[in-house]
Amino acid sequence: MKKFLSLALVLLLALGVLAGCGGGNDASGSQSFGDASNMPAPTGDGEYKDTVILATGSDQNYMDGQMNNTNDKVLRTVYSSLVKRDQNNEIVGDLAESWEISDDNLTWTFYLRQDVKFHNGKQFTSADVKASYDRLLAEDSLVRYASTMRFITDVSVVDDYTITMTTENPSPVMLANLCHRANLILDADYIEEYGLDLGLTAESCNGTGPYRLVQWDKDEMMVFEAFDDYFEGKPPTQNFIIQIIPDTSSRAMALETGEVDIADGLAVEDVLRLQDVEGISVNFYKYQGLHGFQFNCAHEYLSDSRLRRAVSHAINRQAIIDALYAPIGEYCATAPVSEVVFGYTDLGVVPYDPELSKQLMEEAGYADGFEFSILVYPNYNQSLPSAEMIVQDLAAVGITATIEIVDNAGFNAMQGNRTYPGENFPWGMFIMGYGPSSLDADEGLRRLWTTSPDGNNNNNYGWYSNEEVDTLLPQAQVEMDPAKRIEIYKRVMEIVYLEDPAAVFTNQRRIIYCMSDKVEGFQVDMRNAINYTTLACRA
Amino acid sequence: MENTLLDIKNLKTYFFTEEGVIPAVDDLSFTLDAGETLAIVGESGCGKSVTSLSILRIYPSPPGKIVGGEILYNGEDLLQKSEGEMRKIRGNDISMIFQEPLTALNPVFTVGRQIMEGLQMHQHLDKKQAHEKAVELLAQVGIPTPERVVDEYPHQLSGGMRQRVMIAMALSCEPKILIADEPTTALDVTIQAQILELLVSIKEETGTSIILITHDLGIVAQIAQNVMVMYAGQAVEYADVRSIFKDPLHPYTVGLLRSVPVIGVEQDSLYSIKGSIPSAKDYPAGCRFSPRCQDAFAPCAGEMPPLCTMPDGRRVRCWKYAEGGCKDA
Amino acid sequence: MLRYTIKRLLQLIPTLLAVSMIIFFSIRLIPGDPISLMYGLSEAGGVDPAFIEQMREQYGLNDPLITQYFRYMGNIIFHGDLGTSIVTKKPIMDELMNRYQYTIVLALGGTLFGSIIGIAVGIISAVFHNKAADNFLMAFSMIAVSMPSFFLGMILMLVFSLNLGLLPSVGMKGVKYAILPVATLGLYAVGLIARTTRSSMLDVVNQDYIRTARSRGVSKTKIYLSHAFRNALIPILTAIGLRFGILLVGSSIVETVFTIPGLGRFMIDGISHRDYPVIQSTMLVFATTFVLVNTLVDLLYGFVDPRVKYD
Repeated sequence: MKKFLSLALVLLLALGVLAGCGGGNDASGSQSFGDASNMPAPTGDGEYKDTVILATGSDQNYMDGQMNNTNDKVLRTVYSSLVKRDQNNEIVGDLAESWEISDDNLTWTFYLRQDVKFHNGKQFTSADVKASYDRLLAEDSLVRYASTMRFITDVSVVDDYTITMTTENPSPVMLANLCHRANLILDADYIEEYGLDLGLTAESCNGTGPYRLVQWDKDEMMVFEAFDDYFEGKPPTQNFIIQIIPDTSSRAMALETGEVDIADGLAVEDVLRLQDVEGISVNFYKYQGLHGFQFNCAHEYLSDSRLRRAVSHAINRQAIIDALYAPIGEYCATAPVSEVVFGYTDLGVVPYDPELSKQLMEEAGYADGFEFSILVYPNYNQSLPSAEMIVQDLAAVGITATIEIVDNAGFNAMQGNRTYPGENFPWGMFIMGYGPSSLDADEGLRRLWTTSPDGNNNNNYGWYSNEEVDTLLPQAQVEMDPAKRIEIYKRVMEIVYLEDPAAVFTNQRRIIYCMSDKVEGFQVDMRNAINYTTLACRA
Repeated sequence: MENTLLDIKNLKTYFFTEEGVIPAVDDLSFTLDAGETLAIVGESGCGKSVTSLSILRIYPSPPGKIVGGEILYNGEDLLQKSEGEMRKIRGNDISMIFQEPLTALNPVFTVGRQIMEGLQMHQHLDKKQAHEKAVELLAQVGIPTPERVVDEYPHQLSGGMRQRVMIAMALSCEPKILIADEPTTALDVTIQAQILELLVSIKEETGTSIILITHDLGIVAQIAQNVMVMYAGQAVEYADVRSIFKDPLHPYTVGLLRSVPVIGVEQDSLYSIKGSIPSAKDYPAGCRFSPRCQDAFAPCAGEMPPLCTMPDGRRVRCWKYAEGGCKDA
Repeated sequence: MLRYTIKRLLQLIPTLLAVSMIIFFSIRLIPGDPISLMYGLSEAGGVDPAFIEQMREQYGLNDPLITQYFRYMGNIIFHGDLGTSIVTKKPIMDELMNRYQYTIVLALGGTLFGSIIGIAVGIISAVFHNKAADNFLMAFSMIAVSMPSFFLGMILMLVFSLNLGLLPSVGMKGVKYAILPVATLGLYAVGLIARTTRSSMLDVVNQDYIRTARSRGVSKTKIYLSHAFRNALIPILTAIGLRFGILLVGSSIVETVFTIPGLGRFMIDGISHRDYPVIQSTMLVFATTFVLVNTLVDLLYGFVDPRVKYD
């Protein structure tokens, strides 16, 4: 009798626990998702907190734009560049007051502001710009983004506040590319002192941005203090803290208890739940990012374009979106670049046409199907559930796909160290995100899909190669007429998206920030870079 | 009978187990006078240990329960006393020593501490006084260098020494009754003799009554005045020690005595009583010894013989002697 | 006793050497290496492979594994240098000094909490064994043991941080911050220790010497708490010593849930970054702590059980 009672007690508790856990994964909410418009700057009336805390999941690897590959969320607290994107996505001057381009479209002259100071009080001059670009563009440069900006062939000082940049060919994307984080200007003295170790500690950071990094506990928190002499005026909040909370549930909890003011990267369940919590607002923003599964074009079967098309048409993208992404306001991709990227044309959703898939398979001689594996790493925007849905779709046309999971580091390892197409890479498809931070199709397409002379372009992870694309993209790179550029890119995208697919592009991503509704002046652009000059929180 | 310390009447201690009810002590009556030494004899399982545990009411209590009878100590029924009152009696008025001295002593406390506990509890001595008394007691039971032993642990002592320690513990509060449950069984023969000598000298010096429980008739002869033979939870014979040995009446007693080998007499094989002790569910309706009894006759199996008092004061539970009915004594 | 202690401490050396070797070689079996992780793939662009090679050279990652191993161990043994993080370029010893205290507070606090409550629960269960209190407490222990610690931590956080607003959920900046994490770890330990205590007590209570104590009129309370407990303590201590190891590693999970800057998280982050020196050194520290604590528990037996001889 007693044993029975204890058993009953345990069962009851177990049931209670299950009941409490259930209902979390019901991702078919039907809320509407307007894009959050960026909040106006705080009015300043009333009491405001002197510290705003933002919680995020992982730390920056470098506080140096030339080396950082974590994200662009934090760098602009400390640094500025010559030009920047404002909250309407227009390119405006930052450290440069104005600029002009030479008649041959090859030389740009930038007139720098004269009232800019670094955090240590030093006056900002063109020498710092030159030093930054020398470091970035040197022939033996070891920084990460050297190749991204290599289209600039010369950077010269005219006087203390004037600097010229020359490009090899006319560059329509010059200004867009100058907004890339690699262009964040560093202090020339600090470059000399710290070399490649610049940006690993708080002491090695000296910038011109609205905040100063005063304390950096790696993987724990970063503490910033408002810079009194910031050239646009001291920011409204004295202290800004980035708190690293790796566990998503704990992060959501910290927002709810009020221990942090803003949290990002929360799990879908928490995002949906928080919409109904008083005192918390959940904001969705447009984003440069697309999400998809890229083809390994050196794969045994998928090197055949027809089979790639077969795979592409066999997948029901809308169903995947509806099941997994619609609740957080993401929707089907309609091009191989995000809709906010210059050069985008709406090509529609790739048709879901299993019959066509079977036809193509027969044409290619694989009427009975074939197999390959898909490489994913978990916790990346629901890559695993979407991969599972893809596997099912493919099975319906006779293609057997299996899923392999590695962690972030493992994924990295798979991608590196290849000397010839297909080396050490047996997988047929792999999860990938696409987001040109210059918001221009040049970066979004040329970097990714052109064949490099040695056949092994570093960013062409899937060894994609198409002659027409290889001819068109360099043309667009030097075409100054925007309308003509769009035409060229449209053709390229038709190829890469439909005719000779490089990847299965699934969803257009959004940036989601959850915050206390007392936060004011929260502005984020489409590259997920936060504007720190307006951020404040009411008390 | 003014000197009767302990008067047990119709004691029934039953064990309620999953296999059924076991009448471990079944309607037992006997008395103990001041200064008397009573030996309770029988094979294992006859209920002699349970009897002693019942007196102190420390038998294992989920299965065991006293279901009837009285235990009068100095006229007061112990079975009516509260637990708190019993605790004052245990180790104080009535003490007990056990069979296996190593396991019966707490291995993590020093010998001295275990003795002192009783002194502090019952006689309210302070630590210093209790310590001194403990040393004295150890000396009294014949332990050499008691000042050293008092701070030692049981595992550091030999079997004989441990038993002496137990005796010292039991006697520390000058009890009126000492119950000794198989005190020498676990010891080797030479030590046995020493312990017995010790018990005898204690008896003589202090006049403590002793209930000695044993299956060994040899030591009974040396120390006891009276003997009660038990079988299957009942007393089957009760007499003074001399009569038991010279002229045993109950067939079981006869069998027991015959089983003891005699020194100097050649024997081809040892005598043992045929059969074995039945388990409680196999008890016959009549005399429980009848299945093994050579003298069994008509009434034995069917009817339980009463415990009859003989003319010379002895008591026997056997149809051979219970002519014409008898009164329970 | 001193000789025994020294002997046990000397035994640590081969144990830790073996552990260090196993750690060193097994983490290199996992795909991924720190250099390609820091400089390699990302949405934003990759780096020149020549650069990556050069960095690998610089960190000695291209040398044969044995050489790397001896270099690493040599640094520890002769210079007390636990190495430098490949990711932050800072000495690991400094980081360890900062973080070790948090993990130890969690592990020791959890053990203490778990022991005190677990022993109390176990004794109560034993005293009332097979009655309602016993069944309830044992069911509760079983639940405490079966519940994964991150789940338990989140529930506590939900109730005490969010709903009641009494305690903070992030960080370790004061005593208030330690309460929930220690309780999370401790409740897990309670489950284990309570059951061990209960069975040990029940075992002991049936021993002859308990009967002797009763026969001398010792009260039931004193019998349980003094006579029985002192004997039951020996297997309980063993259990606690073993659990400490589990708690030490379990602190990693609690540190993640409660965002505490301890050693466990340092190790986990190190694994994500494939920061070999960090992984090796933190695991070594964990292993050393565990072995030391177990040695301590062994030595403690001598104080609890006089029958233990040291030879």
